[in-house]
Amino acid sequence: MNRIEIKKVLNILTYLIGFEMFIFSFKNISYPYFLISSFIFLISIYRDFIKYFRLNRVLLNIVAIIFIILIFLRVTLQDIITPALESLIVLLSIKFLEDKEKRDYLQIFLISILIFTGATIFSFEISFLVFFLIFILLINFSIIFLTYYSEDKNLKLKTNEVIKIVKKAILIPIIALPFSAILFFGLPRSPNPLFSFFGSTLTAKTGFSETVKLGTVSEIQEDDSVIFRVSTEKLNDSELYFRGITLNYYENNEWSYVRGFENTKNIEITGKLVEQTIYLEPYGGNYLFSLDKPIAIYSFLRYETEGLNFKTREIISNKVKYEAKSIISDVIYEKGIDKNFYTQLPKNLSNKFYELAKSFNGNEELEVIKNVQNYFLSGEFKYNLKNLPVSENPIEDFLFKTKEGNCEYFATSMALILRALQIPSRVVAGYKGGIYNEIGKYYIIKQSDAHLWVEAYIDNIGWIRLDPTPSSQRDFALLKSRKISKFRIFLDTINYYYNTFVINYDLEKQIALLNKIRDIRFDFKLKFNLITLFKNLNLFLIVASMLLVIFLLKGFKFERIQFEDKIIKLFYKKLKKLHIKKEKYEGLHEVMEKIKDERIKSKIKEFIINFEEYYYKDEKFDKLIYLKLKRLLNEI
Amino acid sequence: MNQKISLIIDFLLNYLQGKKKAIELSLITLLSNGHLLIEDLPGLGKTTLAIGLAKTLGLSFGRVQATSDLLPSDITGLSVFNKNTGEFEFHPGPIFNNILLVDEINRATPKTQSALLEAMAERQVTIDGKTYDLPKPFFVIATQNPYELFGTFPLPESQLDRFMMKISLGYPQKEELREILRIGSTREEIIKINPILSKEEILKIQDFIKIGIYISSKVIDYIIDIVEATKRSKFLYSGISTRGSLSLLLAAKANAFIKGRDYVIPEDVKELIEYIIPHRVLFKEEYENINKKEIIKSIIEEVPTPV
Repeated sequence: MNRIEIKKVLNILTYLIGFEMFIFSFKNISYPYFLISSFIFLISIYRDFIKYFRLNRVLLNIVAIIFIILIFLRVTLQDIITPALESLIVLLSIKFLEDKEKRDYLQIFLISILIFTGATIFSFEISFLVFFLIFILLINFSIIFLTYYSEDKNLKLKTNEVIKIVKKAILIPIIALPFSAILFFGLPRSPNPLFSFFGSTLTAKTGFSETVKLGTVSEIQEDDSVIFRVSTEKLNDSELYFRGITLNYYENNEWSYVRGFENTKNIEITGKLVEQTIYLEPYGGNYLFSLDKPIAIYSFLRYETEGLNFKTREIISNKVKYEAKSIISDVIYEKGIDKNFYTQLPKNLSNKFYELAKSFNGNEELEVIKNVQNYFLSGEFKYNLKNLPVSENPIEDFLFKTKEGNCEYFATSMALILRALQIPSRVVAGYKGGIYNEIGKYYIIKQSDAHLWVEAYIDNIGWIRLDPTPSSQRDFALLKSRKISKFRIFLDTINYYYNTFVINYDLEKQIALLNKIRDIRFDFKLKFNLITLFKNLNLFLIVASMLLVIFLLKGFKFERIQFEDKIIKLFYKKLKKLHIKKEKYEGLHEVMEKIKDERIKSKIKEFIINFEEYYYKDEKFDKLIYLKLKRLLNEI
Repeated sequence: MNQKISLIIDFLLNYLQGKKKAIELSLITLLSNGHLLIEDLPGLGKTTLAIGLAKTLGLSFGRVQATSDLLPSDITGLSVFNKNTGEFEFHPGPIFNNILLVDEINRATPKTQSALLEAMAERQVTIDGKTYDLPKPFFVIATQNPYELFGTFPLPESQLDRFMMKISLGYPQKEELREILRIGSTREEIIKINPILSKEEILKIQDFIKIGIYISSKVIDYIIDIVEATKRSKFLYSGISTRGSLSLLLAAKANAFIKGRDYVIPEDVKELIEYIIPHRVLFKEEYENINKKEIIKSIIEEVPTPV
């Protein structure tokens, strides 16, 4: 049977912990520090596993201190955590470089716990859960092997013994799991990574924006990330229009929204009512999406509405959840719109454009509209995300030169042509399509599903939804870029359940509501941040102190037994030196009687009496007693 | 307190040369509320020991010489009809002393033996339907003659269990004998000595030993291991009874007290084993003639001490 040195087992485990810390903090610390510390880490692997060399401990400590000072010079109020994390990572790597004794292992574990806690402030993803479980297991194994190690440094374990210990160690977290589950669901949780209250905002994702500007970029990168998930029944593909914002004003090649032209009261929509629960990812905007045509949104979010636009007051920088009711319909009936406004056109349109517009004839408005739509769908135009016209007048370039573009070009062109024909029109920005997850019963909508379509107004009918973008071409393009596998859908299901069950959306909303009640006009933001800070700090403190308590308790008990055993061992060693053998059935006094030398005998007696005073009175052996007894032994 | 105990031991040594162990053991037995069985030839100082204990501890002393015609009432006492008062008057027997020496207990009839042993266990006697409490402390020293077996009634093992310890005084060493012969009998002197401790102090010490001496679970486990070892032993039919285990624990506590400690160490137990165990266990016939103490010693050597 192969035997493994305990030190080796311990080293492997400790390095695994270190390795996990590196992966875990990789995203959150700056490259120079990451590179330096991972370089040190690699050297220490080389030193511990391949070829040993000695390093001066004092020197290492000085280097560590210099590093920490350097890092802390960069601390700003906006960002305390990153430098702290960086210094911890550097410290950890330097710690690895040292000769490792029990104390050093414990320090490594402690630093790792700090890094882990620190890094959780940045992350609130499902991957955290995996990291967490691995971390807990590794720490557990390491501490258990460390106890063995401190008992006997030269211990060699058989492979099956190692497996046995590991099996038992797994039990500890399993037993602790129900307890932590209670804490997990009982304690307040935040849907946003704790990091956000430290002043950093998340970078906005591309895909949807409040304004649509044409002619500035020649190529659009597909963004494959999920923007929101909609828990609802399965619908027809043609019904999957998610409305974001209605854009009603076009000037300088840019669509924007002008308030005051949306009628909230005099609209009527008839059709199938669909209820949805929407989990929206932070995307840097403040519009709430829901199936076209949304009639109501239920949420703790503070939002305002005009027409069919639902807009939160603050930028959505957390995961949010809301319920929405929509009526699936192609038409919005509305009385008395401002026709002048909805037929507004930019001034720089050429005659060629007007001529094209006039070429669309029909007996009635609806027929004209359909003709326009068909013009774009006929096959002459191609859907493309590349080679977009970059010019002063991108729409005319699109219509007469390139005939290639994305939905923005199609929808804008159509809306403008309708306006030129005195048919009121506007565009709607939102998302189209989505993948239905049969397991989780929800739609996954990605950034790349962002879409722009047209609504045209006909008296007595209302606003009709029109989509001039060749959908087959668009879908094909999407498919090509997407390549969504079953595995990814499966992963997304887990993510979805994690979001719905684990992240506590409502708490955040309740706090927002609380703020609404106490709304103070000035400096709302500061107040809100204070509350989040307080809440998050609480959570952080609770978790940290729990870990600390567990750690201390474990360490304490283990020290106590350890001191007792340690002193007994030292005593036996002493006896061996004096060539005295203690039979297992002999008491200490009997052993003492074997000693001939009176001087030694009296010293031994002093030790024995002192030792028994604690040992047979079941007194706890602390460090002081240990040192006292050790001193007595040394006098012999 | 335990300085006074060592004072007593030193003092008694003046009259019982070379009997330190016996003095200690009888004090341990007395202080842990047990009874003592001395197996010895006559004339080796048993009476001196008993009287010496009684005198130094300020206790009353009674003595019974067991013979085959000794009646239970000779020990316990009896009610006698008083013609003048017309009532029965209780005349207490020698058992109503703090220390009772029963000489050659194995000469008494089983009926008398069991009456005595019952009184020892119950610490009370019932005469004519009336129950009388025995004085406190109550300590019986019984002796038996190991060689004179003719016409005796050996105590059954179950009865022997009621004695906490069985000791022997043994012959004095040459030097000690010379000293004894030089000084002559000291019996009269002993009767005159003043007590070192009072009855109340003895009772207090007994309580303290029971409550105040700490015994770690490590040592309790050690005692249990010893008991288990006697049960498993190939030399024995039966192991130590629960009463025996309890005696071991109590005696060990008293031993610790005498040694000036307020906690028990394994040696406190170990030292007493050869006096507490042998008379309580049944040896197999083939080992009957081997030194019983040696057998017990070999059994104890199987039990590791808790260090």
